[in-house]
Amino acid sequence: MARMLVVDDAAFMRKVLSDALTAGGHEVVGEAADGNQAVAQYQELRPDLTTLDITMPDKDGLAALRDLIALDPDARVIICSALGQEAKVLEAIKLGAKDFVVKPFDAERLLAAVAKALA
Amino acid sequence: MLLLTPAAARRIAAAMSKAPAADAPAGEDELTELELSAVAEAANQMMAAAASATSLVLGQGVEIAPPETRTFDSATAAQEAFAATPHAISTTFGVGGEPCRLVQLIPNAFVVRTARALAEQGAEHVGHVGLDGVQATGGAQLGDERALDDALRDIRVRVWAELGRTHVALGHAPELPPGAVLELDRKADDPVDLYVNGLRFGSGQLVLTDEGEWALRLLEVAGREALAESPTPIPTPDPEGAVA
Repeated sequence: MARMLVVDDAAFMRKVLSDALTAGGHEVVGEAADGNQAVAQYQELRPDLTTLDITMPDKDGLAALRDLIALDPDARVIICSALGQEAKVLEAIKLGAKDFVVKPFDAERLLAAVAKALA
Repeated sequence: MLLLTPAAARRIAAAMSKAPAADAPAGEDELTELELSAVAEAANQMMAAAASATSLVLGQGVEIAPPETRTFDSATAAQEAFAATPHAISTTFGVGGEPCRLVQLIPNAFVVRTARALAEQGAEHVGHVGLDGVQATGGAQLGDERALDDALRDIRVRVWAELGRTHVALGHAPELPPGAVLELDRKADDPVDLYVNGLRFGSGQLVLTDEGEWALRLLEVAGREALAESPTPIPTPDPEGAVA
């Protein structure tokens, strides 16, 4: 069981992600709806793993990822975004994301990525 | 704009939650926050897929913004919520028997930038083929894209310059005698407008060529800002298309 932070601007997606992670035996310790909230929550909660959306208002996921890695170079972040353009995936991995799960995804794919990132 | 009836929105929200459509409440109650959020997420995934496809065609990254859901109780309210654009594409489709519509509002800047990106991509393809030496070795996909670019380039468009406009009552127009003078809304030294296929494309200055023919020297190409300042809004070619 790992402590998770779920970041997505859509309340619906936060629920889908939280449900899948909880069903997979993990504990969702926090949720954030934009990049700024994500960074603040990360500092407060220090989760084992963060799922991060890209397209969000104010600060997007890639900008938040940059901040998270600057705060904690060992931060384990999985991008969960509908933006599957090659350039975005490459940028996220270069910035330090452990994996990139393209929406729509099924729970197994998400949990497999989580297990790999935590290993 | 993705326009949905409340019932269609509810069905999409149910589908996103992987609930059988029959489980979607059929009532006319207001959508819950979570249902609206599920519809927004569906729109986000559609936009991301469209952005990926566009990005492949243009050969460059395409950014998308987070979707925004709004509830309208009349077509007029929806129409007033978005700025008019010179072009719009409207597609209707059904979700569980409910009529839905996808409307793409297209500002001039989008037309100009897309055309430029396609032209740049076309130029790259020519370079690539030159390196290969043989035109056919580029592969079927490259050939198809080139064919598409070439086909677009060869489309003939109607171009005209407009000196000015005026309004005349329908009943009055047939009675105008030869020799009548109609005053237009432009001064003699004002720039004239250039139209391409009914779309105001820019403005310029009328000049006389050495052969004694009129020509237009382009002063500006209309972008989004120029359109907003345009004194006479251009009617949307398909009035249906601009209705939200």
